[in-house]
Amino acid sequence: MFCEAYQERLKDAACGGGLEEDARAHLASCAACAATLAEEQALFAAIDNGVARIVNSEAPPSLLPRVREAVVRKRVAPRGFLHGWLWIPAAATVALVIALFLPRGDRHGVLPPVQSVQQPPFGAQTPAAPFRASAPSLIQMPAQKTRRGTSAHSVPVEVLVSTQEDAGLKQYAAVLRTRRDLAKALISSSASSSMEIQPLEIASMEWPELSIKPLAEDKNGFAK
Amino acid sequence: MRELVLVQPQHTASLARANSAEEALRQEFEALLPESGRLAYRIARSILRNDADAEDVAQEALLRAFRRFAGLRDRMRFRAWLVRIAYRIAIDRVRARKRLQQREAQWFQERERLASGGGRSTGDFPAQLEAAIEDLPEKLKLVLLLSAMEGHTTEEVAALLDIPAGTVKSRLFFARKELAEKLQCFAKPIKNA
Repeated sequence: MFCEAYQERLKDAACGGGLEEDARAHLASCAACAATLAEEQALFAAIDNGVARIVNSEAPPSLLPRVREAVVRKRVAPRGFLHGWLWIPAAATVALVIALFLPRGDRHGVLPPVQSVQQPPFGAQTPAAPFRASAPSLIQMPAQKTRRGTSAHSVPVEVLVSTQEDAGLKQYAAVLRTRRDLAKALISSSASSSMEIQPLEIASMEWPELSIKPLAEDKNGFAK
Repeated sequence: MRELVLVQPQHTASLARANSAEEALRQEFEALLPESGRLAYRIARSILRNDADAEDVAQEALLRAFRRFAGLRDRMRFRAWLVRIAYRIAIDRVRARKRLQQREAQWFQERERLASGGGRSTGDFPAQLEAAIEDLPEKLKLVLLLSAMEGHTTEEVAALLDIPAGTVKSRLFFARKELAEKLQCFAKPIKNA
């Protein structure tokens, strides 16, 4: 036990704090305080060793392979401004733009007309649910020339397809990837059976004879 | 009404770009992994004092860090970031464990406490030290643990916790003092040993 007058200062000194001149002088003259200080310092050393032993444990060798494996499996969240809650206003803006401009563009003929309507061919991999004939299955946007003369296909074209058709197209592509012979046969058949484009026939316009008749006048001389 | 999906036929180039960026990010993370893994494990282990739990927590912390790695602009802050994540997950797990223990085995703990003489045993210094560390306030505990880790100077701990070096020193001082007060009964036997 430290002497009352020096207790706090000697405790701080044991903990690693500095010791003032008068406390040092007291320590030199008081054997009890010197012994207590030695005990306290030993206790602090034991605490430091114990904490270091607890803290500096080696990571098991299985940790890093586990993390690497999990990292490979997981996709990285893309860097960009649309993270967190920001996608909500962004999606709302996109929806608003679509709602505002899509019907207007359609009315005034801004959007290009639907050029072709195709249904992906299905063989044995036809899905159970049949396609409805009423709705278009695939809308292809026509290639358009820009002012600079470059094709509009140089920029990515986005089309809307149904989920069924999307799945069907993916299935079709997968079949073609595995069945190279089938793909070659399809390409060669499409190449051989070249589409015959009928020449345009422009029908002559019939202009009826115009007859000009004078307007009848009332008694004041105005046209009726 | 049919559900429609948006398909972009000519997006292979952008996909390839995204893949290469992801790969670069992964490689950058891989380079940090050995040292970061050890750091995360040590923090988790010192909080949980259980190897298996610590490994799980370290893995979770590293994966969480990886998922948000792309959003971390200052890569120099990665270690500090990881320390906070690992510490937070470990603390959450300790709390969940405590709640579970309290709910399911309150009677058992009471019996154990009575069997051990109504309080903590005074015979086992390492166990008492661990218990005393657990009782420390979080701010003091984290500074104590990080300062005790090999190779961490006061300045490095300050950088990891984003606090001034003086604050680290004072917190470390108070943490050790609090531990010493709780373990005062070991002072004489340790000196005489």
